[in-house]
Amino acid sequence: MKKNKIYLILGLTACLSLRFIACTKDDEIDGSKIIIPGADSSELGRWIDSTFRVPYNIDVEYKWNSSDADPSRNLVPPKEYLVKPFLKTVLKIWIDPYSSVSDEGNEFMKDYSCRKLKLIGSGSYNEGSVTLGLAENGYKITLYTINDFDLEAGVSRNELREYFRVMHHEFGHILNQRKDYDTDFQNITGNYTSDWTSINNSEAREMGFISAYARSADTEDFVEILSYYITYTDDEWNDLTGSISSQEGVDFINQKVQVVSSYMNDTYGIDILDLREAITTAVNEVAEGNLD
Amino acid sequence: MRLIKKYSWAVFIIMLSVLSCNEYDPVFEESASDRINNLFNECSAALTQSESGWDMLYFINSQSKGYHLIMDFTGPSAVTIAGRNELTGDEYRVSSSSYEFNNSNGPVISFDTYNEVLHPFADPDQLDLGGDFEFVIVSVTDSAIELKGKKNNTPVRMNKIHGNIGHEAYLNEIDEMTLILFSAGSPDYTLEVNGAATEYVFSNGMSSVFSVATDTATVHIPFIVTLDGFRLYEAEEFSGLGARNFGLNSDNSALVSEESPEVRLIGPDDIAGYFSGTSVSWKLDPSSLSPDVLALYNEIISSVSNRYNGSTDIYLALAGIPEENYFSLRLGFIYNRNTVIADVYFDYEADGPAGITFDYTHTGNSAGSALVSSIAGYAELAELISTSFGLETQYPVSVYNLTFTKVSSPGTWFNTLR
Repeated sequence: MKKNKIYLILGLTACLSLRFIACTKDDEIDGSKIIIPGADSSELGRWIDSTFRVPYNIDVEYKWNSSDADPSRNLVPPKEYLVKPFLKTVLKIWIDPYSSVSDEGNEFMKDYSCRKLKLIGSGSYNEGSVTLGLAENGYKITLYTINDFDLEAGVSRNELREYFRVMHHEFGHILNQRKDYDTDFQNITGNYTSDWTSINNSEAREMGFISAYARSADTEDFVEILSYYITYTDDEWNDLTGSISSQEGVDFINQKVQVVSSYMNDTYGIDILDLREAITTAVNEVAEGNLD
Repeated sequence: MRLIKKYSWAVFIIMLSVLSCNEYDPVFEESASDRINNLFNECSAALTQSESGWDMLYFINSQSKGYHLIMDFTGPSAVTIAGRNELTGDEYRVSSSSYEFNNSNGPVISFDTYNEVLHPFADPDQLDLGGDFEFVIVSVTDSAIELKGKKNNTPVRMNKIHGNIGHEAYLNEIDEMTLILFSAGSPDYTLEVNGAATEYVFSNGMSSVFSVATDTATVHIPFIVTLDGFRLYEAEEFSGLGARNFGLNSDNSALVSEESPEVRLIGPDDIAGYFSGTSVSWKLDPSSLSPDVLALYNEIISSVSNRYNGSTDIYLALAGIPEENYFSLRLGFIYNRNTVIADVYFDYEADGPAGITFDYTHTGNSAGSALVSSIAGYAELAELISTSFGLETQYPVSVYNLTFTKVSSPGTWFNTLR
């Protein structure tokens, strides 16, 4: 978990260099497509089947499958004993909050979640950064560094929040790919650049971006705002925005929150304040060791 | 034009008939998928039916040394892997995980969940060595499976472990052979073809990567020690015969190629000359001393233990001191966390290839000069050694041990180990 701290602090800020593979808007997802993976008759396989595939139509891949792994990277599969606690946390901090605040209940995630959740044990290293998550074409989310996610060794609330912010970030991409947001969003600040690593989070916030990575593209900006807002408590969010000295920067961020909030409410019937509360409760419970 | 059309039709019909009547002899009698499935079945049967498991001779890449990964395939998808190396902190470690066969790049065996012994070789969060954990199956027999790393193309061999031997005991035997062939002070090995020594000398064996100087460059060849010798990462090219697996012959005088017995690696032919040139400690082996030497040995150990209460790691050795042109009778031990090395010096002279004469100088380093008069038996042993000895070794190829037999009194002798 120590390494995870480093990743999350150094990583998520600079490193959401996440090569979120460009999310093409033409890739409509067929939510009714039923996933029928190869049978995994192990106890873990059966638990995953009954907990993810049957209720949410999500195929969880925890065993190594090189067919969709980047051969140029050194990666390893997750440690098997860490998979179930991790997935329970996924359920609690990602899936359950959406189900609880959506009028559609469990059907919401069954319709909108990724169809495949791929778990990788190690980080995926880039030049100077590490990829923690990857969303591909609304179909698959890959999560890395599972081998650092050892609840028994102790995981702080902040570490949990940061880890699952990645998950919410990726899911934000999927929601956007299903239904686009108002194109005016990209005009609030503009100034998107591939050279986003040249400034740090604090400097980015002064410019009206919630993180340095948010500056990389409007699609990233949108899901960064969403993921930060719903995984930070009200106090944490106020502390974060309160640390910004530029009023213009604060105003830009608040405008973006408004667009994101309207989008989630109007498009999916999700109140992001309710969602934030559900996630906050879940993160606190997991941090206290309650996974059920 | 009509004529051309007529001929064209004729040619077309003839071609059709030829094509339809021609019978091809299939290259393989089975379909590709059947062949791969059969290979999987064959491999699975071989892996799961070995009672003592399999030894995977694993190389990370073409520059790395080899590692032994001992595998028990306990079911169609369950494997237990044991190892002891720097990635396990040099502790014996066992880890269970799963494996599968797939057809992702030809027939592949994939260790598809994290194993604490195998996957650290590939884990970027550890040393980022970039090793493989998926292997293309090249060939299968009941006793050996040839694999190739899927990412690095490294040749990896799995040897069936014969006999009823535990995995840790198996690794201990490998370690013993490593000591015999490649411990400190081990000689270089000269390539011999058809009884004639060549210019090619395999040196630097302690690093597990041989260096061989040629006219144009130094070639580096990784290898892995086996139960009876070693296996090169790839066949050598110096002999022109492609030797790869070398094993000790019956009198331990050479490492002989399994593939081409006319290719051998030999050690020093002048034992005394080799011994004289070493600077390592040749420790007296208390399990192999004549009664008179053993009595003095025990007296010295006892005296050190009494005088330096709590001392540990006490040993006696013959040690070369090239800078002084002496050999010493060394008494070493650890006392109060300090290493004590006491030397008393001998002039020496080789008597042909298998004999040596020591002449006690009655001098030594400061510790030696002090202890020779205070440790019971130390001065007597020095006097006993001050004479001519015949030299013999159980391992002429590596001179791992040396037995010194007093020429004037063959009942006095002592065995030493490097």
